[in-house]
Amino acid sequence: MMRVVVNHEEQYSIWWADRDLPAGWTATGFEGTREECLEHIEQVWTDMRPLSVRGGAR
Amino acid sequence: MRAPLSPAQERVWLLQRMYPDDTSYNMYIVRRIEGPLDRTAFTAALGAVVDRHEGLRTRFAEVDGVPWAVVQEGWRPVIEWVDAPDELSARVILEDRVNRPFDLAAAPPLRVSVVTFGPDDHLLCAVPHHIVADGWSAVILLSDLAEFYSAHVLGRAPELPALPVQPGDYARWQRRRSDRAVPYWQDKLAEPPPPDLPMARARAVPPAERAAVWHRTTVALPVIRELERLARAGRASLFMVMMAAYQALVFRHTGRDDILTGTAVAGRDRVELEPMIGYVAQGVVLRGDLSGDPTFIELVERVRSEALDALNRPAVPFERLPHPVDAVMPSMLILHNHNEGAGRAFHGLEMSPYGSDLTQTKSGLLVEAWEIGGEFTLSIIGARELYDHEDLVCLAERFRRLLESAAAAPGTPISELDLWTPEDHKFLAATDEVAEPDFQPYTIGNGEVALVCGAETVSYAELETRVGRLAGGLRAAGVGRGDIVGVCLPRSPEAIVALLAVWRAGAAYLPLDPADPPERIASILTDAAAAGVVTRAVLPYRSFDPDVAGEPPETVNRPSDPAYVIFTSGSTGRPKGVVIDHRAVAARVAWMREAYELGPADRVVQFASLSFDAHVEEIFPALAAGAALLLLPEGAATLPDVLASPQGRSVSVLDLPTAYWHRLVDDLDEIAWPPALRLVILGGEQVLAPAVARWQERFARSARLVNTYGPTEGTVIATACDLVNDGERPPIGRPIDGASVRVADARGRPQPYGCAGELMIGGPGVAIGYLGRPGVTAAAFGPDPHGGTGGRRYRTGDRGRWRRDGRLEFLGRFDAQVKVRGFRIEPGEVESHLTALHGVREAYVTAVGDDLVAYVTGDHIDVAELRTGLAARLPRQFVPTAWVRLDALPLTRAGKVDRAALPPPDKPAAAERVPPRGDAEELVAGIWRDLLGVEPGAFDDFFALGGHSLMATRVAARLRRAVGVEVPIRTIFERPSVAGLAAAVEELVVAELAEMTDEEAYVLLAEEPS
Repeated sequence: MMRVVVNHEEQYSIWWADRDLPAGWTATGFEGTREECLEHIEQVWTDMRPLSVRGGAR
Repeated sequence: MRAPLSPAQERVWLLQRMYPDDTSYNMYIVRRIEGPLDRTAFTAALGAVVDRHEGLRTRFAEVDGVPWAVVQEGWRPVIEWVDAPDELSARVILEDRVNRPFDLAAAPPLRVSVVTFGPDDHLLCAVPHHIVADGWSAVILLSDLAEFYSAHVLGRAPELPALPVQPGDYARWQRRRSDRAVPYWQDKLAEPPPPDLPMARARAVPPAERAAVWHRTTVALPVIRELERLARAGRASLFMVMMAAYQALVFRHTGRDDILTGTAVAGRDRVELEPMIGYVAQGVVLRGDLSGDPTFIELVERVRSEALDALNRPAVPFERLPHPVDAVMPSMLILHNHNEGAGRAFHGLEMSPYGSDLTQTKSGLLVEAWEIGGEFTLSIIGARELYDHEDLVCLAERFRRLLESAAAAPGTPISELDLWTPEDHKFLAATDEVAEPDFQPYTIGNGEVALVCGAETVSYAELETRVGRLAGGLRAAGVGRGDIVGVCLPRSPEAIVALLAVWRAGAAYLPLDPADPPERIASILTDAAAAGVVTRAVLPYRSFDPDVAGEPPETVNRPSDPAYVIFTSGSTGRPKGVVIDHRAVAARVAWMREAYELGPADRVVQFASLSFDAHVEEIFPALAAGAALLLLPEGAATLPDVLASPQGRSVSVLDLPTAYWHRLVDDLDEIAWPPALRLVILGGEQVLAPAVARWQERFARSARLVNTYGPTEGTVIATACDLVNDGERPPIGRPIDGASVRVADARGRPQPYGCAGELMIGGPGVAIGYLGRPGVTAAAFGPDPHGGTGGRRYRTGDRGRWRRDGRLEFLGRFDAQVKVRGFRIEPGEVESHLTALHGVREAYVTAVGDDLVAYVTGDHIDVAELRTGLAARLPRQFVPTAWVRLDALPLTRAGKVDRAALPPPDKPAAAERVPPRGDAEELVAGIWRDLLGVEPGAFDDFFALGGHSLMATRVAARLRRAVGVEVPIRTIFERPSVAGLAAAVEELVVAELAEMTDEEAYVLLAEEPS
């Protein structure tokens, strides 16, 4: 089982559901197989720019 | 009286026949004897032992290629009585006696020496060949010897009941049983995994040439008692538990979950076999299934059911398997039980064990364990070509810890069992230390000439002006921060100006190759949602002329601003745009400037196409350092011409794809190497050791050779090191500043040195991700548990391993497996074995239809020899079925092997049978027909037709009878076709004639059968 995680830059990834989260990452609450998690990320991660870049564009 | 040999004896006999000087099947029984040794009694006792045990007075005669055991009545071994001045010289004598080969046909293979080195201090050394004895036999030999000795000294009758069975009886019985076991082993050992030993360094060498290193440690007895308890609870044995732990150890080092391990069983399960001296021990192989990360207890249960099935069967019939022994039994684990048949004492003498150094090992890695006198010993012997002593110390320590962990918590999954030593933890902690350079936005440096391109030169002042002007023009056209701008220009100063101008305008550049079709270029630009493209070509996309001008903007790039986008086309799927930010570029530029010692005096060739990220390494550090960049307007292929031109004379730095450099090294003496050359940087493929050797021979002091490794997603490179010619497989180096590299197991956890795993790259060089591909990005870029708050790392898909010196080795791609006729093959595995063979310069292996095809380059390629060489080392499915010899491997623009440009293999139609041609081929074919019952063609392979290694001696015997020359057995393995063997026989006959006098030759020719 894997879960969907996100960091302070709002970058998404996946991590083992049974293992502690590395510092700076939070679980979004979505869990599933690797494929399900990646499919979910495909839907929710719409702006792939790191958070710190978004505001400053232009 | 003669008797057949047991199958195990036949195998040992064949090996001795093939390698007569090999002593690895010499057993040695060495004991220290203190006290007044009665020589007469000892001589009589040894005679009585040899009388009692037929095996000890058996020699092995060859009749028409078939070995027979011939028992010799009344034979006595010569006892050698030697005096030595001290213990050291006694040991030297001992070593010599242990390592002298036997002629099995001449006399029974038993040698006995008594070395006396002090008053009442002796070393007894009995050396029987393994063909007549085993470990159990050693105990019987000493015990019976003691009984006869004591009886003689005390003047009483020896108390030994008559032997019910002798080796000849046993051999007949075992032959029948072995035949029935063949299908079991053929099935069990079908499609073996590639041989992969924990921590093993180089490649396997033939057993006869193996020297050994060894190390011993002890395991605390409470741990053993706990493991025994664990065994009993699961109705298993301590051996099964040890085997499970050993398989887990191999798994943790190699990541493989299909593991073959040999072991030896005493084979004395019938009471009448117990008191006999003979080769009864059986070598069997257990196939460990470690899939699905079982707990240790579950693994013990799996080993138990496997062992119950395998252990009471006769030995593996290696000669009936299509794979070499090394593939089927890469390593061995043996648990000795020394309580069996408690030995008797010599009256009036003290006898104690005495260590003697082994000098050879039959297996790549042999782990033995035993408990004597309240101490549980773990002994590891490794082939010197694969291991050094420190490796074995480390492996033994990890094994000990793994046993402790398993004893303490057997319910733990094997991937979680702790085995790391304090040194391992220290090693891992060191990999956590990542030096991160301070961010410096990119600026063009100061120097004289910035760019040289044919007749055109651009000074630094001019470069600065042109970059500012174009940046202003782009700004005026609406380009700014957050935009992506394509650059589609040929190799030229204006292309370099355009890259820098896009940065100056605040945007990220996307390099595109003008040679690509306009539609493809436009589709990439659309994919990237580029703001436009700087080009002179006519493209169906918004274009900026390179001559547009405007007021130079004052832009300072911020660390998280994207700097460039590189589209990589992996082996599968549509191209992905890798987005790299300025923090990453700055970290790399800073490290490269310093590590490559770049300065205004340098002239660096811009070799790479701009569409590959190698250009970043060439252009930006050089221009930051004030060096001159030499462009290749007519393409990368013109490098040798440019080097030969006046402009090329002052080139000091070359950055080349490894495969291209290999080709240059092939023509080392034809290349006009610039006198100023001081640094060559390689990257992209495994560097071959012979090329490094040639390079160093020529450039030892004058030019550094630096190897680098890194995927585009990790910003050009992540590791680097200087290469030296040390005979080892060239490493890819250590992590550079601003990069962390870890070797991770399947669960993403870092591994210390010696363990294979996936290379993971962290630090500021990690890409932002793949443009517009959230799912793929999330899969490839994951949380970095060691990389600071919210840090990410890139999974490279590359298999690698730390060396003890902190450098990394590249071991291939994880996704490189191909399927041929249903078999899973790793081409990289075959390639690395091929390049280790004589004459091979480069090798590329791939699947084409039902064939595994090898493309090889080299000056003296003998395909038959290569095939034989591989077949001696790898499972049969790994041996290519089609071969193509090339002058050079075709390369892509990126300097990688160009798959599409490889010619199809021209394979002889399989159905076509060429009848034997000429007398010699007729002779060989006739012998095969008699032995195999088939009608062979000239190019048929002896072993493919069903011949096995034991039949090879019969072929040799018949050839000897027919033509009177001794054909070495090895020749039949090395030239296994009718045509090949026939040619070999002719060569031997010619050689023999050349050595004779005319008269002898005349007689011989007259005798030759017509």
